Amino acid sequence: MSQAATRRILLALASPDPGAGLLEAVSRLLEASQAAELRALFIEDANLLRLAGLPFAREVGVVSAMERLLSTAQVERALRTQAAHAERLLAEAFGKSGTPFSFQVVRGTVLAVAMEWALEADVLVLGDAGAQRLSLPKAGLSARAPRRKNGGRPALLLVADDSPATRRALQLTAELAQLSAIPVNVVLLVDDDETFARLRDWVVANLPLPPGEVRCEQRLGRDWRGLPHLLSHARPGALIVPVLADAEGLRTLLDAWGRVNCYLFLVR
Amino acid sequence: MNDTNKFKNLDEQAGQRSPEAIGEPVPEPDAASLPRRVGETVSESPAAVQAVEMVATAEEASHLPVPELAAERLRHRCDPALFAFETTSELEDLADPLGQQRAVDAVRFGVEIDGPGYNLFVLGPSGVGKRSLVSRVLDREARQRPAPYDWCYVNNFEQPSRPIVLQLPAGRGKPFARAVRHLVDELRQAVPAAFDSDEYRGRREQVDGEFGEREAEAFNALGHDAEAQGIALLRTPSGFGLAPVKNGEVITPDEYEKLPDEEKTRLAGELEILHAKLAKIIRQLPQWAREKRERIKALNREFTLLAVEQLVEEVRQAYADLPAVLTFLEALHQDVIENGAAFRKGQEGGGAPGEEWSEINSPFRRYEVNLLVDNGEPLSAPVTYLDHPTYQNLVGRVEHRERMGALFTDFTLIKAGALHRANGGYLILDARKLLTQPFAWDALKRALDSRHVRPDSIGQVLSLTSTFSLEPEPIPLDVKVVLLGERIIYYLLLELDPDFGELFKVVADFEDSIDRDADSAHLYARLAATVGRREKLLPFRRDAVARLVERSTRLAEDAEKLSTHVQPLVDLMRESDYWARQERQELVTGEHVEQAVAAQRKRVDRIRERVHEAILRGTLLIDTQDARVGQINGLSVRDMRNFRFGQPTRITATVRVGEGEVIDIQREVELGGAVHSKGVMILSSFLAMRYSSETPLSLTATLVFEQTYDMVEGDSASLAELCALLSALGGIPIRQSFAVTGSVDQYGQVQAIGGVNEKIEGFFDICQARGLTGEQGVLIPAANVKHLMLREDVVEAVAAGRFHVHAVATVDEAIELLTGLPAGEPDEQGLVKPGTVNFIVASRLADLTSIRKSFASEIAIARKKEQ
Repeated sequence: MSQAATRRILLALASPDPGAGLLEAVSRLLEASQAAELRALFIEDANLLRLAGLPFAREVGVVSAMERLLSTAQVERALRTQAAHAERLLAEAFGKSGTPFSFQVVRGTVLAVAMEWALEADVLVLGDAGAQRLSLPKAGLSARAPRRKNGGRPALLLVADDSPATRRALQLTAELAQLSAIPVNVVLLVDDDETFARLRDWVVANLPLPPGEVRCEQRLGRDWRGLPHLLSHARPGALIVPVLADAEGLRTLLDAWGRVNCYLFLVR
Repeated sequence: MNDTNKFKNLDEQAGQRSPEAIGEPVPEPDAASLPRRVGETVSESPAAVQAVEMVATAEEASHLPVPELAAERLRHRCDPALFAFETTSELEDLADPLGQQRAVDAVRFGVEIDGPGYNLFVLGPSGVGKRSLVSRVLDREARQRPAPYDWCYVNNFEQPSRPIVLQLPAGRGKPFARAVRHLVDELRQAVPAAFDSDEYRGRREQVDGEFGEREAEAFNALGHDAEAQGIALLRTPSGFGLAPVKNGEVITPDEYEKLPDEEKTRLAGELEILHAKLAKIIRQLPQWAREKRERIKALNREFTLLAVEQLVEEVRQAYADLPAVLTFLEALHQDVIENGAAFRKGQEGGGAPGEEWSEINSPFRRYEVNLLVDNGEPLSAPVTYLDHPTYQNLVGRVEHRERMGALFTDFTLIKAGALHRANGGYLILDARKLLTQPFAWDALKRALDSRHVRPDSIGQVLSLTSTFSLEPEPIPLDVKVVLLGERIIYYLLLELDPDFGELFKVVADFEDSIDRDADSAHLYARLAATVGRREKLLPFRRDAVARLVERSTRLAEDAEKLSTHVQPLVDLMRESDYWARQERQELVTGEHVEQAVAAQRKRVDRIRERVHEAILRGTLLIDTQDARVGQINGLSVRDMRNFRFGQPTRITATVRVGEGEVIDIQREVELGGAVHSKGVMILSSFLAMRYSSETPLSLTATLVFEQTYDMVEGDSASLAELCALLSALGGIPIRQSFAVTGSVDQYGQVQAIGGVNEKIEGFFDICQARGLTGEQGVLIPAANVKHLMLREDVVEAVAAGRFHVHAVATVDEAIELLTGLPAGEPDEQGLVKPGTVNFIVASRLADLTSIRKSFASEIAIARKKEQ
C-alpha cells in the first residue's frame, strides 16, 4: 500500500485545555505531512446554552457541591473565555514552530460537529483532556459516559477494516506510536482469515514498534455495534478509526467514544 | 676599689685653673681648654696641636696598649685531617637529630604518655629538623598502634538537619557505604518491578475499579434516574447541571414554555430531587478520593515492604555486630516503605533509573552514607600534617550547593577536617600558621578541651549567613596534637593564654647549637652523609665536610659551636652538589662548598654592594684615615632575613655647657629603639660617675648616627658613642682608620654584641676597596673573641699585617687605641697624670662647671644691683 498525503487536519475541542499530549500529537502529524493545513474548532456546547436559557437553570459546583443559578449570559461569557484560552494555547503550541492554523468557534454538539466535519478533513481529531484530568464526565457530551478507569498501560487502539482509509489510519497510528512509545492494539473488522492474515502482516510491517508491542485481533464483520463494548474494555489512550461512510456507523462510533475518555482520530 | 673613686680628685687637680668659689670672677680659659667643634680637623685647629702631638708621639712609639688578635684566633678552622674517612659515602646515617637528645626524649615522652592535655609543643627555630624528628617518632609510634574507627555521617530521617554519626571498625566504613548504595540500587530495581507486576496491577485496578465504579455507579444511577424523568446530566463550566431533554437534546426555552404547567411542575420537582442527589454525590467525591488514596497507600506499602524486606535483611546480617548501624538500617527501611514513591518513579517514567546519586535533586541522596573518615588503609594510627590550618580545614565544614537560586545542604556535604582524619592518631600543626588563621586556635582548643569535634560552617558560627545549615552529631575526639613553633610563640602563648598550659603539657625544646669538638664534628659529618643520601647528592670529600663544619660554626655565630639548623646545611649541600656536577665531578670538594657559599652570598648581595658603593663614592661619609675630634666609625649590621652584612656608620658627638644631658638625636626623632636609648643613657651615667661624682655635670652633649634614615636599635654602638663623646669633650682626635663595636656598662666595661663577624667584614670590605694601609682595623669586645669566624680574606689580611682586630675589655683600652694617648690610670692618691685622656676630659668638664658657675654669679650680682 502506498502512503497517502494528509492535507487537512481538523482539531475539534470541547474544552479549553486540550492537553499537551494531544497538541504534541497534532504537531507531530503536521510535521510528518508538511503541506497539511490545521483548522481548529472550538465547540460551544449547544445543550449547555439551552440549559442556561431555561428558567430553572442551575449548576452544582464540582468542588463546593453548592447550587448556583445559571444564566445564558454567564454561560456564554464562560464559553467565550474558554474559547479564547484554547486559542491562546494553540497559538503557544504551534506558534513556536511557525505552523499556520485557523481557529473557529462553532456552536452545536460534539456529535453533530463531528458528523458534519468528518468528511471535510483528512484527519478529524477530537479530544477533551479537561474532563480526563478532572476524572469526571465530559462537559457537554454525555453525562452518562462511564469514566475512564486508571491503571494499566495505555495503548493506541486502531479499529480498521480493509477500506482505503485504513492505509492513512495506519500511517497516523505509526506516527502516534512513535511519538508516545506505547503499544498498539489493532482490531481488524474482516470476515475471512485470509484477509485478516494479510492485513495483520501489513500492519505489523508498517508499525515501527518492537515485537510484542503490536497486537492484532480479528472481529468478524463490519459491525460497529460492538464498538462500545470493545472500548469499555480496551480503555485506549487514543482511538484511531477510518471514517465510516455510513452515517449510522459513524453515529454509533461517536456515541461509543462519548462513553470513554480518550482522544479520537477519525481518518478519511 | 670602686672605679668611681679613681677620679675623685680630678676636679681638684683641674681646679688649679678653676674658680674656688661661686661669685668670683672667672679667669680667661687658656687656648688648650677651648672647646672643639665636631669634625674639626686637628691640623686646622691650633688648640688641638697638643693632642695631635700626643697622637704622633704614640705612633712614633709604635706601641698599641692592646695587642691585636693573632690571625689564627679569627677563624676556627676545621682540619680535614680530623676525619678518618675519605668521603661521606663511608659514613653511617645519623638516626637522631644532631645534639637534640633533650628534644628527642621529650617528643618520645609526649607521644607515649596518655592522658588529657598531654599534647606537645615542639619549639625551636625553623630549619632545625623539628618536623622531620616529630614525623619520624610519630610514624614509628603510629605503626605500633591499631587503626582507629571509620566515621560516617548518615541521614537523620526524623530530623534531617541533625545528621547522625556512625562509628565502624577501621576498614568497614567503605564496604558499608558501598553496601547501602548497592541496597538502594537494588531497591530501585526491585520496587518498580514489584509495582510493575501483574499482581500489583491487578490489585491496583481493583482499587481503581472499585472507586471508579462507585463514582460511576453514583453518576450512572443519577443519570438513569434523570433519564427516566426525561432529564440529562450536563457538565457546566464550573460543575454539573440538569436539563430536560427531547430526542437527545436539551429542550429550548420556547419548548419549555409550551409545556403544560403540570409537566413544568413535575420537572421542577424532579429537578429539585436530582439536584439534591447530585450535590450529595459531589460532596461524597472528596471522601471517596481520600479513601482511595488510603487504600492505594496501604497497597503500596505492602508491595514496597515485599521488595525491601529481604534486601535490607541481607545488609542487616552483615552488620549485626554494630547496633548503631542496625538502627540506621531500620530507619532506612521504614523510610523506604513510607516514601517509596521515589523508587516507583522509574516505573512511571519519572527518570529514576540512571539518575546520579550526586544530583542535588536525587531522591536517593537521603540514603547515602557519607564516609567521612576511612582508616582502612593502612591499618595503623594516622599521622596527619595540616599545612594550611584554617578553621574549616581543621574542624571540617558543611558545604552548600546552589539550587534554584538558594543555597542548599545536607549530610552528604559534610567534609572532614584534619581533626577527623587524625582522630585516634596524631595531628601535626605549625603554630604560627595556626595562630594566624582566624578562629582556628580557639577551635582547636575547644575540640581538645571538649574531646569532641563537629564540622561547622564559619559563616554559621559567626551568624554571617542565615541559610539553612546542619547541626551534625559531634564525633568523640582522641587525638594527640603536636604544635611546631618558635620559642617566642610558645612563651607568648604560655603568658597570654591560660588554657595553653593545660592543653600542651609537654614541651620539646630544640637546641640552636652544640659545642664544637672532634666528636661533634664527626657527628656533623654523619649528618651530612645522611642528608646527602636522602637528597641523592654526590658524596662529599672530607675537605668539603670540613668546610661544611666551618660554615655551620659561622651560622652559629660562635667559633666554639656548631649550628643544629639542618635546612641551611641541606641547601648548602644541594648547591655544592650542583657546582660539582657542573664540573662533571663525582665528588663534592671543599672548593665546591666555598663556591656555593660565595654564590649564595652573591645572589643576595645586591643591597650590600649598593651600600658599600655609596660609601666608596663618598655619598655616605666614612673616613678610613686621618683623625678627627668627636667623630668615630661605628659598626652596624643590616639584617635582610636571608642575608646579613656589616656597615660602618659615622657617629658624631658635640658638647657644650649644660645641665648634664646627653641628647640622643636618634631617640628625639623617634628613630632610636629602646635598647639604643638605654645605651646612650648609660653614657650619661658613666660620665657623671667617673668625672663629676661630686659636682654637677655641666654639659649638654649631642650624639647622632649620621646619614641614617631608618630605625637604629641595639646598644652595640655605645662604646663608639662614648669614645666620640670623650673625644669631643677633650678635643682629642680619634683615628678614623678604626671602627668600633661594643656596648659599655656604667663603669666602662665593654660588653659582648651580636653580628661581630659581619661588622668586621663590613669595615674590612670598605678599607680593602680603598686600599689597605696597614693602619686599619676594628675594635671589638673581648667577650666576642670566641664568636669570631671571619672570612678567609680577612684572616689573610690580618696575618699579613694589613688589617687589625683588637679585643678591648674597657673603654680605657679602646680610647687609648683610638687616640694614641694613655687613658690615665689614677695613682695611689687617685690622681691621673696630665696629658692623659682622663685628665683632659676631667679638666674640660671642670671648665664647663666653672663657666656655668660664672654665669650663675653674674646673674646673682645683676639681681643684687637691681634690688
